[in-house]
Amino acid sequence: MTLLDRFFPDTPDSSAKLWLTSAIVWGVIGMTFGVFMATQFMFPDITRGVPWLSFSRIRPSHVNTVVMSWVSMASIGACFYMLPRLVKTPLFSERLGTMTGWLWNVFAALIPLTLLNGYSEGREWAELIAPMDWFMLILLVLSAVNVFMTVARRTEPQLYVSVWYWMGSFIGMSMVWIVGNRTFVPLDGLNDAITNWFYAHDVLGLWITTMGIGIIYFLLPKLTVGKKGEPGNPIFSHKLSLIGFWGNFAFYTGIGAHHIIQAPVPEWLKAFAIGSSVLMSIPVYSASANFFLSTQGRWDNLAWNLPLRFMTFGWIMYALASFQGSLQAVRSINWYQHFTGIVSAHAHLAMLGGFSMVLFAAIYYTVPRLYKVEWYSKKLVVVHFWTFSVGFIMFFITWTTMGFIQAASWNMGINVQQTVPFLKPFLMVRWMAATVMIFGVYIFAYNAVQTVRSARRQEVSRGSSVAPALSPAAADD
Amino acid sequence: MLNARNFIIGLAFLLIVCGVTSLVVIVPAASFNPEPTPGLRPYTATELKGRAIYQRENCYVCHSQFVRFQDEGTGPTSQAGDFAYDRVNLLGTLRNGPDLTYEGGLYPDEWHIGHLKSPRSYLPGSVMPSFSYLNDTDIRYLVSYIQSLGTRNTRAWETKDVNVPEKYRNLKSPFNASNAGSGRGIYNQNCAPCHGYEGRADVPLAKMFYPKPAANFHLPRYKDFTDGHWYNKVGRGVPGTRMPRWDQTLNEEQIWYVVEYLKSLAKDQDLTAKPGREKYYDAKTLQPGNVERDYPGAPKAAKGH
Repeated sequence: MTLLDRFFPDTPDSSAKLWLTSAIVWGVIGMTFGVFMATQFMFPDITRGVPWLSFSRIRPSHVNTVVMSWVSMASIGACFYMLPRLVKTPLFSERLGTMTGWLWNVFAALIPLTLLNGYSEGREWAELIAPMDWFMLILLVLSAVNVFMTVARRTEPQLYVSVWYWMGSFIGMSMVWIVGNRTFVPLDGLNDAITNWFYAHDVLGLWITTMGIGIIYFLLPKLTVGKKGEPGNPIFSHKLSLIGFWGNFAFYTGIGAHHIIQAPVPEWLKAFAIGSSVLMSIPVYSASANFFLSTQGRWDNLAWNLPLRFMTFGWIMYALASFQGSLQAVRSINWYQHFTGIVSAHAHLAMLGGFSMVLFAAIYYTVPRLYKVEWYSKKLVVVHFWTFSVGFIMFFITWTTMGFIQAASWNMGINVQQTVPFLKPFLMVRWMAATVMIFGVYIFAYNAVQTVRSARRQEVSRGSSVAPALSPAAADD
Repeated sequence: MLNARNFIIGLAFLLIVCGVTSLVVIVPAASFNPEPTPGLRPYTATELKGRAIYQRENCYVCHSQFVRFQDEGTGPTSQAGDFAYDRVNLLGTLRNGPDLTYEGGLYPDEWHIGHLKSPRSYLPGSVMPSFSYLNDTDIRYLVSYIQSLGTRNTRAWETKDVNVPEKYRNLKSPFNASNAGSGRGIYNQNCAPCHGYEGRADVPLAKMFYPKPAANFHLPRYKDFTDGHWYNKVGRGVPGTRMPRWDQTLNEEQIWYVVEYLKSLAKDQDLTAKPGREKYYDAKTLQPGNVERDYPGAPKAAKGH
């Protein structure tokens, strides 16, 4: 076995394995950053005098690690596993996939290394410095080549809706990345803000949401199989799913400016952003209705099918977050709640309660099929679900309450400094909820490590150091 | 498998996504170029260095930099031209800390340096991280940037003593001299630590601050102050000094009480040329008494007076 095969294996599904296992590592790191920040709100002087542990530097590291490392790597990993099954063709190049995966890991490691050391562009959500922007663009193109070439060489002529979503995501994300990081044209003042918020919201809208919905559409028929092997529910309506697809890309693209409704940017732009935000309810409700109606008749599966439980929790949170998002963009509501914790809580509702849960489900579904072993412990999966979901609900409610307290106080003329003491008890509860959640995530990571190790042990006992070949169109697909 | 149908679908997709992107990013960039607000000056080199540190330390994650019309007491609503010289936007989206649009001039440099290094010594209960790890040069740059916020624009924030904004110029006090006693209590609680009891600056802080607080409200020139001028000074503070904007803490009625008290202090003649030796009213007889009040640091009264 050459060194090339060792690190950039060519075997089927090796890239999905690499991407998903890396994603777990970055998920743990990114969410730990978040809990650490919750701790710093309780004890602001806990890292006093240490520049790279300052709250202000950890916050962008948290955002960028979670978005670009955990969610992106897990989504692409799941896509690399699911896409070959859907188009009944092996991945275009596993070696390209693993190479991109390792490069993405280097990128993911550079995110905290640059930001914690003070290399920040100072644009919210788009803090990464210019060389990192270029690096990311190359990685996106490399992953997109793999996806599009696989689709081009497919043997299944009909494209399932998930493939539509993933192909759209790669085009959308590459464009959002180039434009949003203003890679080519530096902009001044408010135009920079317009671009900034275009990026910050469309990295969610044209990348995380669309990748995630593709994964949900793949998993839904697989996870609703009966306990005795009854066939899974097909998705309720392909027409609805396509309404969701076109609606998502048509309306999500233009909503970035709803973050700066009250800043002096052009009124027509605000109106366009608000209109798009409200129209977003079309794709969101068509997708949620589709998920809901597809699960009809199999709700009992939630009792024993753990990945389905994670996924259902995830898409319900996604639907709620989108409902909330459409409302928050309306001027009269934005007037009241902008600048408060309600907005941050809303972001976590989509990212943490929504798509992180969906990606947990994808990992719980995929890893046993990739490694040909059962999960190390089913009980720990249950523990993960309950700690994470209960912790999350506590976390979200507390943060939203904090937001309402801020909004009410400011509107009564109490200024920001004077509001902070009111929030202290809630900061404490939020910290506790975050600790409960991160406990679930550590359990998940431990479970994954043990599962992969048991797979390795089985390989060794079979006398083969190469993973068993897996037919691209695996039996269960 | 690039048949005509797939081609049309792909083309429609690209048209939608690229079209909307151009509409919301490229069209504003091409058409929306607001002129700088009249009177707004660009940043100085020092301020730009401070701005780079503000960006590096990601201060915008907790401090926004635009004022909405409902943010009362913060300053005028932000105009598009106010951001003309901002190379990277620092608008922010969350107010874990106060908005900094008009932070410049609210506190002296020394206050900012100390507050950045040890926030909870200055504002107990604050959740701001300590920036004690910044070296002294960086902190000075950062403070010069903070002081430039809102003060680069003569329209937005009047820094000249004589320039009372039109909004305040013709205000009339709803009270009269008989309410001065009510203002005295408020004055003693809030103003006396710096301006001294009865406006004589006979307290240590009055000696320590630079620029010095108004030292003697008994001077005849205070007779010339209009109600609006007093209200502006007390309510909006004095930019560039430690004098805060009291309209954030006191309500309108309380400020007018204080103004009535201050108006009652000004005398036709300067009676306090020799501090520490003035005759005070006797609390029992309500007549000018013979009590001489002393305070720490007062020049010793000449013997035999």
